[in-house]
Amino acid sequence: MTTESITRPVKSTLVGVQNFSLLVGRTVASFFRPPFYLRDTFVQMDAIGVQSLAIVCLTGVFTGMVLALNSAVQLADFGASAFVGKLVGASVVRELGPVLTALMVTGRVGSGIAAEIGSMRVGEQIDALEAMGTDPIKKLVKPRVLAGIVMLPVLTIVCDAIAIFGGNLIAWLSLSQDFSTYWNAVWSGLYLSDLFTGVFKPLVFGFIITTVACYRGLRTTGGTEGVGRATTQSVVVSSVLVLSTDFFLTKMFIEIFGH
Amino acid sequence: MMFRSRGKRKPKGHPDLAPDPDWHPRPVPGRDRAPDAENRMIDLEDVHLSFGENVVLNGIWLEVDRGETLVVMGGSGTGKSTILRISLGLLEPDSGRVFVHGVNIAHADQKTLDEVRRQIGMVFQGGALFDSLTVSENLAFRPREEGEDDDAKIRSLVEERLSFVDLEPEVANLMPAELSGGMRKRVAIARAIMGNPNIVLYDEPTTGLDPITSETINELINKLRDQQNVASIVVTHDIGSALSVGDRFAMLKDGHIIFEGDAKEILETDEPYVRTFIDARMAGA
Repeated sequence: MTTESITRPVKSTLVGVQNFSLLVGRTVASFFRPPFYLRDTFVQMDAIGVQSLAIVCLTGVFTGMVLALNSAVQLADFGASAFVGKLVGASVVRELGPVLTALMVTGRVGSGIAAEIGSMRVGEQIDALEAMGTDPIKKLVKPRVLAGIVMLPVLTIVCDAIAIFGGNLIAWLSLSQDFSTYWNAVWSGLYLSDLFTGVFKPLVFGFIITTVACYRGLRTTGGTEGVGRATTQSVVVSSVLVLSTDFFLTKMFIEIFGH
Repeated sequence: MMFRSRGKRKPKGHPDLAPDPDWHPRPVPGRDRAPDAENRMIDLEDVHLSFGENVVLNGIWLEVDRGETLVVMGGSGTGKSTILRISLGLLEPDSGRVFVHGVNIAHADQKTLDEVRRQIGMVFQGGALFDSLTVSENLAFRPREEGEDDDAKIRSLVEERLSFVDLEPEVANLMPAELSGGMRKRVAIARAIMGNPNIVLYDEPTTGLDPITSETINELINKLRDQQNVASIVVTHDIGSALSVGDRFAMLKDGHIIFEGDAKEILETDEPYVRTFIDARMAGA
């Protein structure tokens, strides 16, 4: 094994981190500088948010139902079936809602963004933008990142609500639990801080998913094969970052709020 | 448009872009008259560029005057398109200076680059039309980016440019995917001249086109030079097209310009590589 075989991947990773950091820095700076491309931002909000609603609703309802089914069985052993709502509500709002929504959006939207921008890169359309004096960061990246930051929390709230309703359905059908018992349990398991973390996490995830997808798209090389590679890398990197960031955010919030 | 909130840009040719005081345009090789700073549009001075170990440009000197077409030829991967990208500021040279109408854009800041690029139109090899926009929206892109909000004015400009490249107004509503190769190139030329550039750069404008369509594109390049007095750099390995549009010719090999001259000189040269290149292409044609 030569020294170069060790140093090259390390160097390449460091250069990648540096370039990604530069893109993030330029994107954040662009939030405060015109032009703002509001129309493009609304188009992206539609693509990222409205068009992801169906898949997020499906994810939510089945997650809530599965969670209620499993917890019903476990809690029944302790005679604690009344706490199904508490378990479903807390799990969904704190963890499952934000993370599962982010993973679904990564698969649907992150891959789409990487493929779209990657195709523009290999088709010289990004160069054409620059040749016409248009900054691709402001024109392509900023609207997508802003839309991601705004729409991920909205989608997560929808996912949380649907998941809790899904749990309610199972509690009613399997445990014959009435609505007030279930919903009282849900509210008793939630703190105000949970609502805050449940919205803050998706905001961070929205930023991660869109910036990673844009970065992979802008760095695409190697024709159509390269576009496929960029798409895959975007989904893998975003998913890993979402899961690892979730851990650190959870740790941070536990330190701050104490639960 | 309700949601458009773009900052207006400075008008074209604003006074920030004064020529570099250190810039002294060199004479065009083989030409008697003294260089004219007013008409010198592009000057590449001792430009070097490498990608890792691969030396692409190794001391390139090139110049183009207003109303002149320089054809850059060479084999595949010799750095022809790189010269265009450097002239447009899409790539930064490792060393050397790149002057666009006297302004050095090598290592220039983004603001300077944006302003300089507004004097330049670029026709990319595949057209590089925006897939998600209609022909009309592709053409309107630049004026809208420059802050033009008058829809009627833009529509009229689009129709005028389409007419210049001999396309019917109905083409405006088509998507790029619905265009033939020749139409794509013509739309790309129309888009490149939307901002009334002083310089137009062409990357392989006739590659992949049939001879008749190629001739139409050549005529357009000449029409632009003659009617708009633009300076052009055409990168091609199509020798027929090169001879149709070129006033001067440069041959690139191993990162160097190994030949520079007019049509008569290139056809009569004894330089072995140029001779082989031309004879092979002529035989191929």
